[in-house]
Amino acid sequence: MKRTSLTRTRYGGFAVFALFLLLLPLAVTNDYYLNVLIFIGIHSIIAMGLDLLMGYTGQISLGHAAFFGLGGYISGILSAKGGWTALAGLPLAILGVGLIAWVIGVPTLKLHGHYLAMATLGFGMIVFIFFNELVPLTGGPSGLTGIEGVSVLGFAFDSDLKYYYLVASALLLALLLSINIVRSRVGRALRAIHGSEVASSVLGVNVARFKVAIFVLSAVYAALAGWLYAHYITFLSPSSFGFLFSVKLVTMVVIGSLGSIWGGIFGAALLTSLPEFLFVFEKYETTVFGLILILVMIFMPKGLLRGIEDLVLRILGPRVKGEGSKG
Amino acid sequence: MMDAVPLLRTENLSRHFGGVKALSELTFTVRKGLIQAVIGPNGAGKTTLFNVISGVFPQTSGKVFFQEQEITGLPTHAIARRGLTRTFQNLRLFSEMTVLENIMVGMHLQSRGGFLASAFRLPWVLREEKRIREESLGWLDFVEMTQYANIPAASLPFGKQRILELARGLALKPSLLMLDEPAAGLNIRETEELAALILRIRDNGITVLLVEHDMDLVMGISDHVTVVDQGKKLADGDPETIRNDERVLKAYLGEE
Repeated sequence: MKRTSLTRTRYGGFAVFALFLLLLPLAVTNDYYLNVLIFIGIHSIIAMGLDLLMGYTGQISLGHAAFFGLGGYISGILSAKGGWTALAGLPLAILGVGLIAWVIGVPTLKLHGHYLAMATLGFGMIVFIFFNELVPLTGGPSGLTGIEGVSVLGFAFDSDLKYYYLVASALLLALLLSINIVRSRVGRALRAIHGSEVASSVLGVNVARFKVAIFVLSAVYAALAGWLYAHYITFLSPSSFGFLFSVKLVTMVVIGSLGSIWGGIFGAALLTSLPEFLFVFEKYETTVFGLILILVMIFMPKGLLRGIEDLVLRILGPRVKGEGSKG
Repeated sequence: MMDAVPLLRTENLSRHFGGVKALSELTFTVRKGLIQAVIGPNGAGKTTLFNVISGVFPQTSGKVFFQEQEITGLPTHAIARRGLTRTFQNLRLFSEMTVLENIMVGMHLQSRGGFLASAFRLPWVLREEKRIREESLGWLDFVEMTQYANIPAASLPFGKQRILELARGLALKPSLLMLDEPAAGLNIRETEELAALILRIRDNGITVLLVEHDMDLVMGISDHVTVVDQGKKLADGDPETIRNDERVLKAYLGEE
């Protein structure tokens, strides 16, 4: 009995969310909205990985757009220039980005706070320059065309609806793995590092190793998202992977709620859909996001998701208390 | 008492900060199974000694041996792996985590679930989680804090936070537990409870090394006391000897 109820609380939210994703296309029949949902899903995967790094472990990265781009370009180039299938490119995108993140992470994660932010920012800019300048491979600023769509065992994900389900499956897989990691020995070690590195290390936690590992994992999440992106729009241009997109990713995580897996999805949904639905923003996108970030930081420093949670509790709080004192 | 086996030994251990010799050629021994205290005036180098031994920062010169093996220069987590852990004068709890989770982090080395095994919740990981949880609850019971298990560590009263940090160290099942001013900020009743707890820890076979300002506590429970002043060892002996040592009195009361 106890076991079932425990399982239910552990995966209850996940099951509801999976059902929601499954049924969502019934309500969203317009291809344009479906397209927005696909982008939300792709961004959610990156934000979730970034939240494992930022929210749980307390390390910042301003270079995640680069990992996103590298995941896309590796598989995209193999597809466009080498004739590989999308599926064959996936393991290479993931392993390649994982390896790059590891090489970058080992020296970088010895840095703290602003220095870590600067180092990852620098990395992002270098990668951005490569995307622009390696014209024979990437097509440079004019972009990389001719990337194949995804097909698995002869089944082609060739409509927005089909691709939506592909992205939703990837998102659910990433979500499930994240939930499991967070609620494990590894998740505790990560949060402990966030709390106090020195206390973690006197308890035997290999701080450097865990920091690098979570950095690599979050980069791999971004690579998976990049792969989904590349084979969806079948065209890549460097401008999608610049510094501003890294900042936008960080904003998603912070606005959503640091240290909450769901927060990343929430932030990604908000920041991806806002400019789509309110195109007045188009010119002022960055300004508006900056403003949202400032307001959230001032009024809901724990992020929107937790902020709303706290607000609900505050409104319900006195009533619950009042009843308690009467009884 | 003198024939007890040395558990920890420093050899001419020095640590300089610029021109300041926080530790200067300090040689001392911690014997197995005892409660040993390091005392000295403010700025005598006690906390520096703890930091160097536990690998928080490196020594300038000299060596540290633990269980007859040199541990000088090893990273902190590797020293912990050998069975040496510590608490901090300024509490270093994982304040956002629950009391129970804090203890569970203390059992990090007694479990091995990594990223992949945890992500896929392999059956052995689930069994391990259950074991860690139960044993951690056991440690909470040992320090009589079971009722606090599921509240965030930050919302504990200060005295209980100190005990939690100590229990977190115990969960590592160390051979040597180093306590950096465990009584700082505690009231008289809490200090008495702490003293009783430290004695119980020793009786469970864990050697305790403490740095402490509360002389009643030190003299009341220590089997052996080392006095340091200006980074050097001034005196060494049982509490009674130390209490009557003139050099010690001078160091504490001034030269006049």
